[in-house]
This record gives sequence, C-alpha cells and structure tokens, in this order.
Amino acid sequence: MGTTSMSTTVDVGVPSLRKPLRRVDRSVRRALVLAMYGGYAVAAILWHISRTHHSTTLAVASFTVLAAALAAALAAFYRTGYWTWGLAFDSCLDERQTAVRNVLYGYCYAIVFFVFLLAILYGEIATDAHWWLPNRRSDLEWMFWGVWALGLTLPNALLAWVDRPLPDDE
Amino acid sequence: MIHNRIAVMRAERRLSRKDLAAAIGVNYQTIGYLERGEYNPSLELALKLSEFFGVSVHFLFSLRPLEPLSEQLARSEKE
Repeated sequence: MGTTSMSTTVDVGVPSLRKPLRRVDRSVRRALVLAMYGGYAVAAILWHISRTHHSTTLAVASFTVLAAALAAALAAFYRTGYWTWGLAFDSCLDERQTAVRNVLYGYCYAIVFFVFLLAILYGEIATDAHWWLPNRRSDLEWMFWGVWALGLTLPNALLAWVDRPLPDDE
Repeated sequence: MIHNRIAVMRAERRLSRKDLAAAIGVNYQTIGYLERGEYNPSLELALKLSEFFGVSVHFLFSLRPLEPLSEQLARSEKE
C-alpha cells in the first residue's frame, strides 16, 4: 500500500473515531431513540400514577419501563460512535464531523428552547385551569433527571437519528 | 457543487478509504462523502489532499464536471 511513506509526508491529526464501530441500521437507531425518550416519559407517568393510587404494581412497571429505556439508550450508543461524536472536543473530530455536529447543536438549542417554552406555557395555563402540576418531591426529581438526561443525550440522539454512514467498501 | 478526482486518484494508487483517511487525518467516512460530492472540503483539507496526491488543487477539484483522465490522455496523445 505504501502508506507508511505517505503518512510521513502529511501531518496526521488522528481522529478519535477510527476503530471499527458497531453498525446499527438507521431505522433501528431511530426506534431506539424513540424508545429511550418515550420510555422515560411513560415511566415517569406510571410512577406518578403509582404514587397517586398507592400501587406497587405500577411502581414496578415504571421501573421496568425505565430499565427498558436505559437499555434502548445503551443499544443506541454503545460502540456506535455517536456518544463520542456528540460530546467530543472539536480537536478529536475532523472538519465534516465537527460541521455535522455544529448543525445538530443548533437543532438541540431549538428543541430545548421549545421544551422550556411549552413547559412554561403549560405551567401558566395549568395554574389557572387547575391541571396537574409537579408539586411532589418525586415529581420534581423525575423532571430534574429528565432535563438532565435530555441535555446529556440530545446531541448524540440527533446524530444517531440523522447519521447515514457510507458502506465500508474498498 | 464541487467536482473532484479523489476516487480516481485513490484507486490509481490502490489505497483504501481508510488508508487515505489515515494519511490525511480525517475519518474514513469523510473520504467517502468527499468522493461522492456530498461534502465540500475546507481549503485546508483540499490543500492536504492535493499535496498528498502531488497534484494541484485545480487538477483535483473543479466547479465544473471534470473530464475523465482517459479522455484527457487520449486527446493529448492525438495532439
């Protein structure tokens, strides 16, 4: 191949994503991302109902769904490169990877902005309409960890959602 | 769209995308995107690629569709 002599002539800024990664079909990745976020929301609702109705069964179901959501996150991100890509320093990525990620950061900003906007609007309406509002400690904990998990996983989830890897030919 | 000869030059040197990517310092998927014209390189990356192949940037990249090298060679032989 003669790559040794070639690599000595060109400065090689080695990207961090060079080892072979696990390939997951895009439709499967999208299903896993939906399962991750949807699972968390369902688990939170089940937990709330279980506390209201004092139901151990629903509490167990809530944690089961939460475990499934975590498993979906693990399946979506484990050795697929999206976790590293979403959170790595720019110096660890090449220019295309950085450009793709920066575009997705813009989408993340918009998504987080609208989530907060909807939450504030709901809070305003719910106060007047006497709808449900998070007032228990456990409700606030679910919200806190939900926002924390959203902030941590959103760039990686968007990458997993949109990435279209080319075949490993040649 | 920016047209390029990266795939031809790489095939001529019998390099895989991974070999070229390692030499240039990018992810191998980026080479694939460049070859398909789905990603336009920065000036720095274009210069690195042309330096690697030992040709001018103009030879490797063009705003117009590039003439196949075989046709170029045949024409120069006639001339």
